[in-house]
Amino acid sequence: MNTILIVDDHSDIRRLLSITLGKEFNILEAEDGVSALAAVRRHHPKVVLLDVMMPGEIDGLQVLEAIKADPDTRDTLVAMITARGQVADHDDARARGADAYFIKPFSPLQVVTWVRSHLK
Amino acid sequence: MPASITHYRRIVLLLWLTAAVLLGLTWWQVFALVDSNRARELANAERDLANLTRVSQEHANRTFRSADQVIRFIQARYLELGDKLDLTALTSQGVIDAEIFPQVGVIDAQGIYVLANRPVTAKLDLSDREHFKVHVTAPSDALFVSQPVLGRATGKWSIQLTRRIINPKGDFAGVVVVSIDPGYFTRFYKELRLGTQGVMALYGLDGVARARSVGTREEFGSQARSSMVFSRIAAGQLEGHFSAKSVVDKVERLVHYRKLPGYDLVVMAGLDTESVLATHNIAKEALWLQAGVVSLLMLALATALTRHLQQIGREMRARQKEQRQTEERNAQLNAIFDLSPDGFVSFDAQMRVNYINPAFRQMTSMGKEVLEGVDENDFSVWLAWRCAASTPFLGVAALRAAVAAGKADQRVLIELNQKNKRVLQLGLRSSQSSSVSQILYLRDVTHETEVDQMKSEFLATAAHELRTPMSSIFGYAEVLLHEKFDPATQHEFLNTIYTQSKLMANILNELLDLARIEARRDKDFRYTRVDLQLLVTDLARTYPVPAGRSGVELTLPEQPLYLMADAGKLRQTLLNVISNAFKYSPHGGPVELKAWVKSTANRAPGVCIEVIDHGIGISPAQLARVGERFYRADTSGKIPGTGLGMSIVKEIVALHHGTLDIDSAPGVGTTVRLCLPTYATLQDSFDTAGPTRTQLDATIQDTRPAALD
Repeated sequence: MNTILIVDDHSDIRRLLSITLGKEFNILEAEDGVSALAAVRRHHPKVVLLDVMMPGEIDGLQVLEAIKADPDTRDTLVAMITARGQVADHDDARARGADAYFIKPFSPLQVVTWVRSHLK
Repeated sequence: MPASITHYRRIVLLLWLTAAVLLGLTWWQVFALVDSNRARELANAERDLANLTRVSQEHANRTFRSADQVIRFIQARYLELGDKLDLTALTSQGVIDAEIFPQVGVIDAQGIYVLANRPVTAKLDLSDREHFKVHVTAPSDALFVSQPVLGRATGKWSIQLTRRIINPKGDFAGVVVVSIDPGYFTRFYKELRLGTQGVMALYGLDGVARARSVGTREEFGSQARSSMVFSRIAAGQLEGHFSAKSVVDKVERLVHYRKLPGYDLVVMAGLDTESVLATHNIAKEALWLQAGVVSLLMLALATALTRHLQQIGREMRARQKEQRQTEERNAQLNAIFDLSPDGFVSFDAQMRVNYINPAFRQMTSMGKEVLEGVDENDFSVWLAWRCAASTPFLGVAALRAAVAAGKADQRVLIELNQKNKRVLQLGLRSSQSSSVSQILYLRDVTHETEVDQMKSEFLATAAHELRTPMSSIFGYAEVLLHEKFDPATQHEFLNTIYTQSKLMANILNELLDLARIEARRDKDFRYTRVDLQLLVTDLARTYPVPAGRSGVELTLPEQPLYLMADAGKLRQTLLNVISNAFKYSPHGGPVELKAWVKSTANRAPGVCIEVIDHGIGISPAQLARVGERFYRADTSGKIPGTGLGMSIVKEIVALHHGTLDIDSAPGVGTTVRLCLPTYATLQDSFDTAGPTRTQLDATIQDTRPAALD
């Protein structure tokens, strides 16, 4: 069973994603950048669903950068889920190696579809 | 009047003075010349006339002497021979010149013409003739020269020369008569050729002309007794000259006269002044014409020069006027530039800085440096050096190129590398003026850019804050629609949707509140006299205390507390603060509210309200950010909130001219203190902001408690 890491500072969002993905995948949760990065390095999830704006020392983009920079974790699929919907933000994330970009409010079903298609 | 204009006037004056002096000199010289010329001509004429009279005197003398000789001869012969004297024979023998003396004869004592050189046909009594009578009435030995007489028989003019004959007894024995032709004189005079109006004459002192020649005409016996010649001779001047109008023919003449010594006769020579001065007059007229032409030329020259100078003067005045206007306009422009809040740097034709206005100095924090005279490149280096690395200044030339390339509508911004952030917008305008080649203008857009940045940050934050609850609502709703869950989970999802919807509504409301307060400042505020006791008590009674918590504990003073405030806004403020107190003390503990009158010696009275909780508290770092839009002390998401509540509190307190203080320590609790001025201080501040005095007075009349909602 593939493992998915859900990173968001809002518990409601984490709960929503874990409910929708929980039946098919093993779910891990993190509520800030530092613990997210730690979880990625320890559990090597196949997919990371990553919020951009989070309190704490590092934000989502920095987590993304760290994942893609590390050869150990480079293959992890990262989908950004963010409230920042501007084109510049989207391009910024793409440039740093994001595999997908979902803008809040997002459709949980679409996220599930995307995850499924990439884990076949 | 400028000095140069006076200078021009002086030149004109000098010009005319010179012209006048030159004219004066010219005319003076001309007159002097004419005068001396005339004098010389007259002197010449006088000399000529004097010579003429001398010659004619000689002529007359000789004539009379030879006549006298004939008379004396006849006289002697008659006394010797008596009637036997044959005058005819003497004449034919040539003893008597018949040419000169056509008639020679003797008149006896009775006046009878007894002897003649021509046959006497009849007895001729000449006793009534003057030349006989004179010898009878005034016995004299002198030769008598008669007036010219026109011969009765001959029809010819003659002058009788007579001398008395005294016989040896000493008695009057008759008269010897010799007549001469006065033409003899006039013929001689004509030979002198004195011109048409020239006169030669022989007069007797009786004023009757014996012979007178004018031009080719000859006259005999003309009367000139009133001529000044005779009065002069009577006065003893026996010769001399004068100029006078002839008493005979009224011609103006220059005359010389000479009395014949021994005879009562005078010779006169006269030249008419007109012909004497004829050459002189021609010369005079020529000189006058010359002087006139020179004068006219001089006047014309002076006039032309004056006109020219006046033209120059007028042009100069016009130029000066123009210059003055330019100066005035420059002064006006400088005043405008000095007062302008925008910075201006103008460059002269050589691309050197020639003016910097005070706003530029101020906005670039320029010291006492002098940039005037610095060229464009050095100026660019100077300005570039003051710019932050993020916004380098590429130079005036680059800016000019950009403007020329039509990129003028792009904003060129530079940020100055100084303590306080300052952003300047640059513009460049080329000028066709001769003194200014281009103007660099700088507008301080620090505030604008900050506001712009704040607005876009706020928009991004607000969007983010709204998207977060929206994702929960959207996501949970979608999941509920597509999948089946047990009732407990369904309820949990619906509860989340409900909570997040409420949060979203709150955010929207509070955003709108904040926007309204900010936009309208306190124009929407209705200041009334608020009874704080009543308001706080009512608030505590109606506040929806969370389950398991006790209500707000009030500590109020005995006396009523009044203040001027917008009751609704004050209520909203206290609600936000109390709500925070409950939210941030999730583990319980009382929420207290204290109010008291603050009055100190040097400050106006006010009312303070404190809300105290014993909750989780916040760190000093978090404390500094309280009041920022969407800033949440809680990041766990466990404590609901919009992050706008304290922003609204801050705005409302500030608009009431109050103060907001927060004391907090993590784990100990938080105290929020609002101090608002009462009426007096508010009144002071109304003068500069807030409602007008009349509005205030009107609201004071309304003593009813503020409407409570």
